[in-house]
Amino acid sequence: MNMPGSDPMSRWLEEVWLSRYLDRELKDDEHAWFEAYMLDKPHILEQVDADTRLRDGLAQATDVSKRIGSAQPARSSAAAGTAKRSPGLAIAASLLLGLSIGALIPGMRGGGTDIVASPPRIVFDTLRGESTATLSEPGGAGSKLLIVDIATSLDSPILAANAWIDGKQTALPTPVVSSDGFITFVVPADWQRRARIELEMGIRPKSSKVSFQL
Amino acid sequence: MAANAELADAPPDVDLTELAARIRAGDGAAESQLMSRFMAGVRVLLRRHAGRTPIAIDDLAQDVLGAVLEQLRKGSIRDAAALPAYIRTSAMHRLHAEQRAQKAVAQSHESIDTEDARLVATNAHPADELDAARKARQVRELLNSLPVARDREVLQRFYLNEESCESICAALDIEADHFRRVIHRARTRFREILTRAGLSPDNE
Repeated sequence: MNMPGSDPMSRWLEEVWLSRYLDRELKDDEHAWFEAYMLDKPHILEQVDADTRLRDGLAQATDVSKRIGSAQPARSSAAAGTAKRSPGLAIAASLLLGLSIGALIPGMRGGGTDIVASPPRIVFDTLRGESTATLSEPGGAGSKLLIVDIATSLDSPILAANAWIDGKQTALPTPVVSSDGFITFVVPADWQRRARIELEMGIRPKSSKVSFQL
Repeated sequence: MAANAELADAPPDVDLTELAARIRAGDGAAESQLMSRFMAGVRVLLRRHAGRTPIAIDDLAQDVLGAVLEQLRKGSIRDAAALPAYIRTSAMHRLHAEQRAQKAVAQSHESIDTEDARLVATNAHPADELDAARKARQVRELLNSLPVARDREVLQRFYLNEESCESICAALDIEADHFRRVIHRARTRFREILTRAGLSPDNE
């Protein structure tokens, strides 16, 4: 396309440029020119920004989808295990998986290409007064992550979370309790059998600590 | 701030040559006019090019326009008509510098061997992350609810895989002449679904 000068174009011509810009049909110099042109044109910026937000929304949705574990070979076993549990747990785990991977592992944020291949999952139930796993799903071979779901009482706020790995303490982000009463951690898979998670629950100074051996 | 609101705040045009001369003469009001006129545009531009890099858009836009003002005060920008192009180039350079810096930080994290060291708290608030995860799930479900499978495919290939028009046309057996109509229709349908679900990309 011939690049006009810096004077404002007619609306219909702007529409043609905008359409080609959004469809990535402009050459590099045309692209740069149009971006400079639109900088002080709110009616164009609005459409460009809406398109950007659409793209980002799609990208974010796809990232979460990948992280929830779409690798096919291991999916059937994980799905079978999930089916035995309450729908609430499945929903909570799915939601928080996307959340926790982002929250715990900065290297994966925004990368977009790492796929969690059906990670193993262990579930604890503090409501039964047990600190050993009540459910364990093996997940896919080669997964570098382990999902830890803990059912907890909505009445007992979580004040702090720590992990003890080979005797060394590591502070974890304070978990958010889902509306179903679950908290979820996503941790390195090799923590299994050598680490424990410790939660401080209740209200200080009468808080209590509960440990979960992974 | 909502995108539409910030765009609506943009003031009417003032001749750029006159604006540049007033800034050079030390007119503070002219500086404010320049900032108001270009701030929304710089933000939109940065958001568009930032992609998945988490960038503090507002801070970066302030930096960009602050540096441009500095040049105008010194009289270093002689052709005021070229000001938009200068601002755009400055914004892109600043963004690329920021992306390089973030990449370097990410690589330094990667170089730490232990998985334990990856458990570093991020700046994101857990509630914001939860909200983002919830929205992402909704968007994914809505995308899957698009009645025409080809719309889904076109949107994913175009926006997520950034495939060329030729590649998409070849893969989906679309006439090249019809591509623009197809992508436009897919975009419109998806935007309508998002809007009905209260997730309009226009009003975030």
